[in-house]
Amino acid sequence: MMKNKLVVFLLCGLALLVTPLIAQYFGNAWVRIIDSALLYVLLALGLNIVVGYAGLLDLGYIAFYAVGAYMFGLLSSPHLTETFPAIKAMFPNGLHTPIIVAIPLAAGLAGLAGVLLGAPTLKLRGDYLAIVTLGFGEIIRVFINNLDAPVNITNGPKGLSQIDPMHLGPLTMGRPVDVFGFTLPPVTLYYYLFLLLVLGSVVLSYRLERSRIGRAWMAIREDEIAAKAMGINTRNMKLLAFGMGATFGGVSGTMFAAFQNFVSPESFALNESVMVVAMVVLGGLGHIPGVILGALLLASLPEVLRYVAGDLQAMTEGRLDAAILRQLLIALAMIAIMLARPRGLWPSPEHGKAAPAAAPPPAPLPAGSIVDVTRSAP
Amino acid sequence: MDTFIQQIINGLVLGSVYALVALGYTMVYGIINLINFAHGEVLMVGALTSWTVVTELRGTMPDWLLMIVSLLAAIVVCAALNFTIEKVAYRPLRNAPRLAPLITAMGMSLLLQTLAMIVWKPNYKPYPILLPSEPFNIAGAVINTTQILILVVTALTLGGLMYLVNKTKLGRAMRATAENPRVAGLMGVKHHRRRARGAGRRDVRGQLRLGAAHHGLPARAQGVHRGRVRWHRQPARRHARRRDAGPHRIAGGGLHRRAHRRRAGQPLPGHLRLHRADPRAHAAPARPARRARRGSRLTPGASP
Repeated sequence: MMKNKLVVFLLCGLALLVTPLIAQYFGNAWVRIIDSALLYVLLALGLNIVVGYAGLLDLGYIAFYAVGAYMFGLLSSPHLTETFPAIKAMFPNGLHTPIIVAIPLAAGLAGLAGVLLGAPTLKLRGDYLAIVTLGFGEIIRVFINNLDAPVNITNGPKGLSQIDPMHLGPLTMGRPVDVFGFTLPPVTLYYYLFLLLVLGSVVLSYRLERSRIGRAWMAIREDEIAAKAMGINTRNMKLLAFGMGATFGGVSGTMFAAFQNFVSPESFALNESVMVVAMVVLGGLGHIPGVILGALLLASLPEVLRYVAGDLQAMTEGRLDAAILRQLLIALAMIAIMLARPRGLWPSPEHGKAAPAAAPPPAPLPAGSIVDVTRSAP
Repeated sequence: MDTFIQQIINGLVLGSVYALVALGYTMVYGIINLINFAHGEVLMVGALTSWTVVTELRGTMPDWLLMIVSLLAAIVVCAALNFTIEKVAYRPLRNAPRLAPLITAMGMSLLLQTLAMIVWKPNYKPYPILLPSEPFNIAGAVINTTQILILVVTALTLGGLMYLVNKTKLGRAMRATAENPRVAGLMGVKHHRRRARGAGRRDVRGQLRLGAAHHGLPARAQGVHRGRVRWHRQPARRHARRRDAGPHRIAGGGLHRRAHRRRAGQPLPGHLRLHRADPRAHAAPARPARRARRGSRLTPGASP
């Protein structure tokens, strides 16, 4: 049994490693689609901590993504050195942040932003929290959009361009690499980087879920007052959830900036936040495989439909635009999936119920024992 | 000073437009606690419906009448649309996790946008000027007919809605449902219906008119739709109370008048004989001896 599991594990790993090589065969565009889907998986895993575990509806999650992306953009594009002579004097060769600095810095900065957002919203619940976080997301975007005057920091709506690819010393992901006669283009290299990050996040999420902290979050999600009564420091736990979720967002933002070589405020609009929430809820709130499934589905569906929509358009004798058809199909899919599976595509096993088949029948209760009536069927 | 008054007027008009949208929104949010992402899209459908009516019927009737006709058309279409949305996308998820309807709402928003692009094509529509555009002078500031219409309609709607929510039976039912749907249900409010009505109404509120393009402000108008309250028929409390005192009282009450009558062996009055297929509705079965029927409270007698 143990051996079987190991074999399955290794096969999955091999499949993940080979996927981009196969996709690459059909064109780099496909690898790009997979890459951006992986970025969304990273984002969704982060949001899952806030929404899925701690039950705090965050509609401004993309702000942390923006914080990470802009941090990396500023620290590795020529923009800062061109605008400020003082910085130019300090770094005559320009700022080129290596990956080993960028990731922890992005994580820390975004985590701080998360705590900053969390602090004033501690008392809010449910939809009110959603509104405030939505506002926060917009604040960050508008801020970035307008911070080009009087001092040009973010370059406003023009965005930051010429961002370095991820690099560490002489190793860079901006050029193709030859391995055993295979040529790995940059998109494939990014695939492996993102895959590594996603796997790391999965392990982190999994361990968090089963830790004391994870249990505290879930207690807060189920009933905040009861959690407080049980001695959980709800304030710190909620702040931690915000910070932890934001950290994931910041890291994926950094990756996004390096991957695209360009960031502009319009990449961080409200509908992106909404899309990430949709991924988490559609996949299965608080369940890691579900969230990954939801993110992969919603992130790759629009791109894959690009290839299908052309044929569909031909079927309607060209009356319908391919882009419109694509949107129509996504909308229908969202509604249909939610109606068919209200708890998500792959929901976590229901709270308080034994895992199917695995649990032995309960032993008969000794006479006079106290029966937990609150657990009986509704 | 002139500028000040002018800006106040402009602000009031623009604010009224938003107030109308918000009015519709709050009705839905207040009752079903759902952030309805599709609200703006229903508004859009209202505007486009009105545009279609106006462009199709221009010239067949005076402009002011056309305005009213297009307004009514938009109200009907939007109310119907929102009833449908509620029925298709929100109602099946009433008992689902809280975030599930949020996703269908987002899907609906996307769907309506796409459908509108298919039906009306994604380009700008010029909206003809229907109302006279000569401005009136008020203390140096100017206001035109469309702006006045917006203000009046908003004021009427606000007043009507306040009356509806605070003074009528329907309003009480809505408030009760907002407070606690289950208890409201127990009190005889069909809250599904109430909710659907809340959902329908809010879009009635959100009719956006594309008129008044000359001053750049969307004129908007809408009307109050009066609904009839339909309560659950309370299962003959009068009869039940009388029977509660009697020997064969029914634990929990809650039988229909017909059932009470049947138990008592009384013939049913004509208006209660609903189901002809039910033979007992016509002929009372042979009654067992009264003694046997009475039984004791714990060992009920022969069932009728």
